[in-house]
This record gives sequence, C-alpha cells and structure tokens, in this order.
Amino acid sequence: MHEGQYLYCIIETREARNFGRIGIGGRGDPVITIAYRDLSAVVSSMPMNKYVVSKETMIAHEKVIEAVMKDYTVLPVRFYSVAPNAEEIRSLLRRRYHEFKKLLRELDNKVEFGLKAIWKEMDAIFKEIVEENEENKVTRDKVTADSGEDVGPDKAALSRRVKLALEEKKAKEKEVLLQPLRKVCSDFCLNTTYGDDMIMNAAFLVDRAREKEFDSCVEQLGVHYGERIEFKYVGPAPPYSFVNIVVKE
Amino acid sequence: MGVQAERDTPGTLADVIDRILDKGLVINADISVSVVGVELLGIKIRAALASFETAAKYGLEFPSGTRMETPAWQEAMVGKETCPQCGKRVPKEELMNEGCPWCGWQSAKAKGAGVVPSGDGHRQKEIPPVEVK
Repeated sequence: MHEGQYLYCIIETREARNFGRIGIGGRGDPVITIAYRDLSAVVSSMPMNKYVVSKETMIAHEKVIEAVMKDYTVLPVRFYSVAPNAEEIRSLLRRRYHEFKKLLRELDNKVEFGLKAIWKEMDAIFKEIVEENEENKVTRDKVTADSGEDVGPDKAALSRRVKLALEEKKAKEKEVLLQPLRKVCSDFCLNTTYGDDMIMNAAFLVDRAREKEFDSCVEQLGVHYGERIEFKYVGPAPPYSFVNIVVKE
Repeated sequence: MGVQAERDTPGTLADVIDRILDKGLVINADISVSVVGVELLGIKIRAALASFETAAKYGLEFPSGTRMETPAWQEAMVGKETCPQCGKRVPKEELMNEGCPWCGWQSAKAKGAGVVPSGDGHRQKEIPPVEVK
C-alpha cells in the first residue's frame, strides 16, 4: 500500500530530529522532521487510506505532539492530516512560510490550559433560582399545590423563566471565575458548554513563565468555590484553541 | 484545599477528543484530510443527546413534586438507549423488549422471550450498559 506522511505539528527548526518510534498506527514508525528553511513539519509514515479512528490513534496523535512540545513551540495540526509524500509537506511549508512563522512567534513559549467549571448540585442551583425570584416561588407553589386547577400554562411559563434564569446565573458566575484568570493568561477562548450544569468551558493560552501563577489562580478558585463547583483543569496541552489557520489551496 | 482544582495531565480520551478533532491547523490542500468528518459527527450527536437528556431530566425534576402529564414531558421522560448496532437513540423499553425500529437489531431478551408487550409498567429489569466505542 502507498505510504503517506502523517502530519502532527509544525515547529521552528532547520535541524533534522527524530522523536522516537512513537508514530500513529501502532507499527512503531519513527517520528521525524521534514524541513523547509527554518520550519519543520513533524511527521511519521503511515499507509494512505488506512484510517482508523479509535482511542489508540487519537491518543497517539496527542502524545506525539506532547513529546515535541517538551523541546519546541508547536503549531498543532488537526487529527488525521495525511500527505501523499514529503514533497507536498515541503511545498506547504514554503507556501505558508510567513504565516506559520508569525503564528509561531505569537505562540512562542506558550501552552494551553483547559478549565471546565461544573456545578456540583443541580438540585440546589434550581432551588436557588426559584427562591431568588418571588414570582417563580408563587408559581412553583401553585403548580405543586395539587388543587385540581389546570396549571399547564403556569408550568410552561415557569420552565421558560427557569431556563432563562439558569443562563443568566451561568453568565454571572462565569464572569466571576474568569476575572482573576484573564489577568494572568495571554489569551483565552470560551468553548461551547454542555448540559445544564456546565458553567464554563474555557481554554487559556499561558506563557510558560507564568504557569505557576496561573496554577495558583485556579487553586484559589478551588478554595473559594470548590464546595459548589467542580473544576476540571487540564494542561499543559498543545495550543490547539489558538491556531485557527485553514489552508485551502 | 488545593485538591479541588488540581491540574490533570492532558491525554485522557475525553480531553483529547475535545481538542484534536475540531481545532488546530486545518489543511485542505493536496494533503488529504481524513474520513474523520463522519465519526466526528457521531461524537457530536452523542454529546448533544446526552446533554439534552440531562436537561430533560432536571427539567422534570423541577419544581419538586410537579407531575408532568403533557405529551411533551412524557416524551422527554422516556429514557433512551443507544442501539448497539446502528447507534440511533431508541426508547429504552422498546429497544430492550422489541428491538431497534431503525435497523431491526434484537436484544437477547427479545430473542429469548419472544416479544413481550410493553407498557405493563411492572418490569424492573436491569438494562445492561451499551458500550460506545
């Protein structure tokens, strides 16, 4: 079968490197570099058209980039980008040379941290929402009174108001959480939240020199809000959320 | 108390999916980008469904003591399970007792006992977990 070049990330170096036999696909392919001037693509060989989307392949992709990140600032490439040959990769680096160099400069020495904030007890949150608003309280009591009266419209109105109030509450608490963090990071982006209980799903770009400082900011959030909110803090990861280049032609 | 927000190393599956599938440098040139699209869609749909069901569940539990008789609530209240063969979401009772209306998959229970009429309201069988790969 024809062998292609699986592309993991782009780094700034003109030196040929070998990151070990950790290539995707489980064959122990060496992860090496293909250079154009002082830009290099980190690749390993893999059969074209043999695509396996699995836990193993996804983790392998991530692990290679993490290994490279120990020595270099990286531009992570999306999962499953495979070029037919090394020449195509060199041509890509040549065509996008200035763009890649610029982004590498912006990301220099920076890594990504993910932070999700999730309410622990939704029953308590819904209760707060009702208790905080007199009108909701009255409607709730009416709906639950079991008086034989038709309360359908009340229920519908109540659930609409609760939904709105939930969004407001999320926005308010998210701002409070973000405030100390945005002072320490170079950039951040807010990703879509899932479910009623997720308040924030954010990615932060942090200079390695400020990692400790950022850590302690997150730790402080844990100290202050840990009883009510669960924090999922992950990093240092490749700066995926801050690389938004789409190469079309 | 720092335990509340301790840092995890990246590389767990959930965390990796979040990042590598729809972020990062995208190359559509002569570089072939993947069949990932299809799979990715599946993952997204699963995530969306999971969150809708959570929302529906909380919506139903609130305000406490409320009885939900309207068809919409009834519909939302039906627990759904992923068909192990075609991956579609099917009401749990129907999937277990009769099989999947989309692809015809039959559970061991439906095969073994023949088709049990649903709706008697007394069955309290354990539903085996469905592995999602």
